[in-house]
Amino acid sequence: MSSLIRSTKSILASSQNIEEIAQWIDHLIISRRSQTLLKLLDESNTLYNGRGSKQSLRIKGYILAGFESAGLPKKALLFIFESLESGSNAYIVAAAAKAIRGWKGDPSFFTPFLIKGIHLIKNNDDAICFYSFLPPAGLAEYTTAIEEIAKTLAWIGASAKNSVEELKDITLDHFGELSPRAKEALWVAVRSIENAGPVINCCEELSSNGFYHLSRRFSNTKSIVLENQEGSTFSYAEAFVGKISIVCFFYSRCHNPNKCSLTISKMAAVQHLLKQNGVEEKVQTVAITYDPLFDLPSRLHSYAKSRGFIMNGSNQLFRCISGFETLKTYFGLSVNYNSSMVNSHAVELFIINKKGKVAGSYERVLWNIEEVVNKTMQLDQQNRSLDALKHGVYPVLKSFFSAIPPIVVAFFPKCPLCWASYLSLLGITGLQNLPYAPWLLPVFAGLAIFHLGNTLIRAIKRRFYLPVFFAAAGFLLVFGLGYFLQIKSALWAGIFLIFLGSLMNSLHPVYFTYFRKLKDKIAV
Amino acid sequence: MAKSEYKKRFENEINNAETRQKSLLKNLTSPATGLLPQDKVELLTKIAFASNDTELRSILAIAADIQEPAQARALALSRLNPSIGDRPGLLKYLIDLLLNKEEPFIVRIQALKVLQQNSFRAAKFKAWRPEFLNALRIILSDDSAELRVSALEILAQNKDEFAERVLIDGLRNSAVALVPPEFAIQLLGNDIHGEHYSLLKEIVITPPNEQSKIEALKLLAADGGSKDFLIPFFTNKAEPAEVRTVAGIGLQNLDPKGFAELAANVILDAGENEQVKAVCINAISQSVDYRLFNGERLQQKVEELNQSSLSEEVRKASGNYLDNLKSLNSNR
Repeated sequence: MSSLIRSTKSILASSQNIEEIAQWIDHLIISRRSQTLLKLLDESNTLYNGRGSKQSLRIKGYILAGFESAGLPKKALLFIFESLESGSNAYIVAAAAKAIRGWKGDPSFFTPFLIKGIHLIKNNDDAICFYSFLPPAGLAEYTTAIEEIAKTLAWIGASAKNSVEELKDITLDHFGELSPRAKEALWVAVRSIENAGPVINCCEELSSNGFYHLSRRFSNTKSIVLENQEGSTFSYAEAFVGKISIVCFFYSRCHNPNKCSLTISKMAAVQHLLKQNGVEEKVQTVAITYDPLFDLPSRLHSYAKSRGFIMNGSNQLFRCISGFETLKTYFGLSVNYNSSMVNSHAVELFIINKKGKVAGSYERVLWNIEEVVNKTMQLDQQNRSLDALKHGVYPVLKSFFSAIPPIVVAFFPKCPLCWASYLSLLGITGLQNLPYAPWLLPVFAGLAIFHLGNTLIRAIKRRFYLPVFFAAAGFLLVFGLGYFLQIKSALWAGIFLIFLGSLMNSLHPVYFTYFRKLKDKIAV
Repeated sequence: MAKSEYKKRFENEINNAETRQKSLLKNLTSPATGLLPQDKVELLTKIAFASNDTELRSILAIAADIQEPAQARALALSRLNPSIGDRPGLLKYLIDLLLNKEEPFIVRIQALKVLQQNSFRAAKFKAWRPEFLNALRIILSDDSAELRVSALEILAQNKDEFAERVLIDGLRNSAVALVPPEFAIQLLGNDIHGEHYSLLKEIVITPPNEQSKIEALKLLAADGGSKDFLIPFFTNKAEPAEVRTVAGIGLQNLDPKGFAELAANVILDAGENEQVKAVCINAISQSVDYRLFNGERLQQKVEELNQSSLSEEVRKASGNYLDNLKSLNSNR
């Protein structure tokens, strides 16, 4: 039992022993640590490194089933939906159905997924059990995925009333696809739903379609080199910057027809819909393999072709020939490997913006073709709005900002005397805020007088005295009212006048000619 | 022969067959005939599959009668085939028969064969899949070795987790092996997503026998991570030709470009094994992209081999190579 006390991290790092892992999972279930169990579900967890797909599924299924007693956390729901929609064997489907019984809220939203699960598994059901992680080969007592789904539907009861007619139709078994045991279990579910009392909506409704807006992924994509189905190579930027992209992941040897094969067929449908909407030139469709060592260009080509995926300059299949780990991190891929073979993966689709950044993703759920195209078109619309902003507001801002440099140049101190004036001014403004330093007062006063004198000399030369008046008024306000009488507003007003005087003093002589003419006109 | 005459003759044949079937079944099931066991067996070999409920009942009566000879019962079961898919009750009966250790082996193995044939033929069999698979897993520990192996084979074809575990355990510890190692490896090959790749590498390095090594190398052709592992088995002249050939085919599957380079070196090497050389010429000639690999030098060598090689295999392969090259050039 000492191993049970160890942390999850250490057990995952040190143990490849499946029995030890099973013991640890049992401990987590008994101690109701559903959040820790949740962390173990993601395919990228080191727990799945180097295991075959069967063992990976058994671990995942055993964890899922454990949620029945440990309590089902909200974040585990996507794993439940994924298993019921595209689970590759009876064990994982049954486990997902069992996990639902650990949900504490309103369970009505599970019903459509459970019905999907029946259709998914009825031709591929199996004898399973959950009383042990590694049960013996032949079971004296067993359950099946359909039976577990039926049990969960019965548990949902009144909340499944909307689906009871559909369930009855399934149970009537028009094509003889259900065993007597399965039919009996489903009838029990139907009766439980019909006989249940009214629905009490106590809790929040969940409406996640698996779409996420993402901004979390950041990594340098420079090391990524992609090879397309024709054998041409591209950097990540070459492949993705400049166009919106819909990117899915797959691998040609995936044995689950509801995952990779379906994904590529659906991408072909996405291409068709993009064309119908007239945006096929703006959006590119891309499929990247999880299995870059095996999925050579010729394999990518034939796999896509047989599923109707159109291949051209904007619509391509890629294998990553360099920087695959970076690519995995960048997209946060949920995939793991046994040697080089994929042992488990999620259904993942990403929408990439024109800058090559992930704008959103569908993870685990079977994404809807129309919805993906709509989201992509929304992104395109947003991009167009941004472009419009660029072409409308940006020129105004540009001309505004272009006026600043000449002003700066105009007022830039052009001689040592001007520099001295600016320095004196800046020194005075900070004087009040300085810690006690009595020696600074005569210094700044001296500089201010120097500034006044300098302004006066220049004013005489230009025959324009306004800067001297401003500077003198400012000097009086700062030192008279501001410093000695501690009137703060006078201090600020004085600073402003000195600053104004300084700026005017720095202007080019041509402005003074203009000012003089203006003064004469006013006088006339 | 006129069409109408042909049709008439065909109808007559059908009628005769039906009459014969009825007569045979009547003889089989009527106690008045007092047939000896060997006569029953002979009659059963002559009857066709049950085509209606009456015939089915007659055949089932023999199959279910424990007083009947085991061989006759097994033969009766074999005549059930096309009829049981729509009769779930019969599937259940056969599964029970398979699991009943009191029944003779020959009856149980026949029940298994009928179930297996129906598992992919009858749509309604899907409903019984859990029960059938569980029965097969129970049989993995049956007293009968033949039943165990048959069950293991069916389960492995279904990529069954338990079967794979039994096979891997057997490869790790020969004392618990149900089948010879080379056959176990073949069965593991049904599931490319299995746990076995590291074990296969161990087997290739320290094989229990030569055939196991070859079978393991074949499966490693599915593992992209085994490319570098396979190279020395292909390039090492001390390895048997079959081992080198299998490793080469695996390499071509995983890295066609890399393999083309290695294969060209083999073709150009005068001291190379002729069988391996023939395989390399074939491999390059079938790969359009790399046919012109190594340019004129390779082409000249293949022409030379086509003229003067002592191996018929090499001459044939080089002939194919040159033909393919000619047609490729003319297409261009």
